[in-house]
Amino acid sequence: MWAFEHSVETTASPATVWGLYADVAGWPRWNAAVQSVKLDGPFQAGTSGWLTPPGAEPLPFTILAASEGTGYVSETTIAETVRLRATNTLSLLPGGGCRILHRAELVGPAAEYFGQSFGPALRDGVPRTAEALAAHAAAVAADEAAA
Amino acid sequence: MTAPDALAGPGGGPARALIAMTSQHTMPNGRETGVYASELADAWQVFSDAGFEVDVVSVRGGVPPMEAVNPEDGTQRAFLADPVMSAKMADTPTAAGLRGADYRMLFVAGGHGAVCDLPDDEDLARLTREVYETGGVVAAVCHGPAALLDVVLADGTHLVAGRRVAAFTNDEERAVGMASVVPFFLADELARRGAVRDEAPPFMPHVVIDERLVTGQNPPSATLVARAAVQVARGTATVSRPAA
Repeated sequence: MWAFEHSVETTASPATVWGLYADVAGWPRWNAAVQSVKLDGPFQAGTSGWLTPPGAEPLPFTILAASEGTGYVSETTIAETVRLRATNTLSLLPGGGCRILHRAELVGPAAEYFGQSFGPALRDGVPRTAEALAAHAAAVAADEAAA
Repeated sequence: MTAPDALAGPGGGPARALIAMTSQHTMPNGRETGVYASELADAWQVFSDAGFEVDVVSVRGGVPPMEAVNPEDGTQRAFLADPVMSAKMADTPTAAGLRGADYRMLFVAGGHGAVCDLPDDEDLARLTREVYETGGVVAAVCHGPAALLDVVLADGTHLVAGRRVAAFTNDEERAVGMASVVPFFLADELARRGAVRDEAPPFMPHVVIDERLVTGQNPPSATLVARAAVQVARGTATVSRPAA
């Protein structure tokens, strides 16, 4: 099974990061692999929509699980034989910030083959996205504190 | 050491396999490309193990660009560390100076750049025709079948006309976000030359043997294509069934 995860700490609270997760229209601000996300409902388990990578066609996207302030699990259908499952988890740190854990996993009958060929490129994006989210969340938290 | 059931070349030495590849460094959108590293390394490993002497050729000669190099892959590490292949990759010839009769096997590796420059390489098309018409095996994987588009045999027919052919599919192109980047869908273009499209579900390994033409759909198919090509060269291959 192809899977990769990366964790990073941010000074922002879990609630702040959760707000960034739930604001899917804002994902391109911290996720370079996303041009746009459109959901057909609220950010909660069972809601589907479309995720469009830069320069590519929209891919079916579904939220499998979501727990406010804690994290969510989503799947993006790359092809009929392979899906990218993202498990993004938040845990509170003693100082009030949080640890962001992003796990990417390929599932489906072609997951192993797709991972062998295209996994390295996917893997490169996981830490980049988590780090960008942490930095963006910290900036949002600082703005909120200054306001 | 020569494999026990190795084929002999024209001069009595080991048979020679030629791996052809793109020289394209970037796609029209600026994305880096080159020969797909796993396909190149996987084919080299199979042909070497089968006792072939492996040569390489590229569209523009010199050092070809490589795409998706994965240092964690043992076969790629072995290929990149092999001193003989390192020397050959450092100064690849073009097809202009090569003769098809010298090769029992031509294997065309993929990488997205293949669809940009392989179809216009008239010398490679001539070499491919010569390999095939002197009894050799022509194999290609992923975007490598782009080299077959304009291969016309002595009787005036396209090499792929009426033949079952596998190549990177339209769905796979969409899935990797390259549908609007590639100059054409390879599978469609092969079909326009008369090829009979033979596809498996996206990203599943898939190999098609049609007499001495062996093709594969995607990177995970490369080892299977090379093995099948060796079997065809030895006369031990069984014809593959069409994909369901």
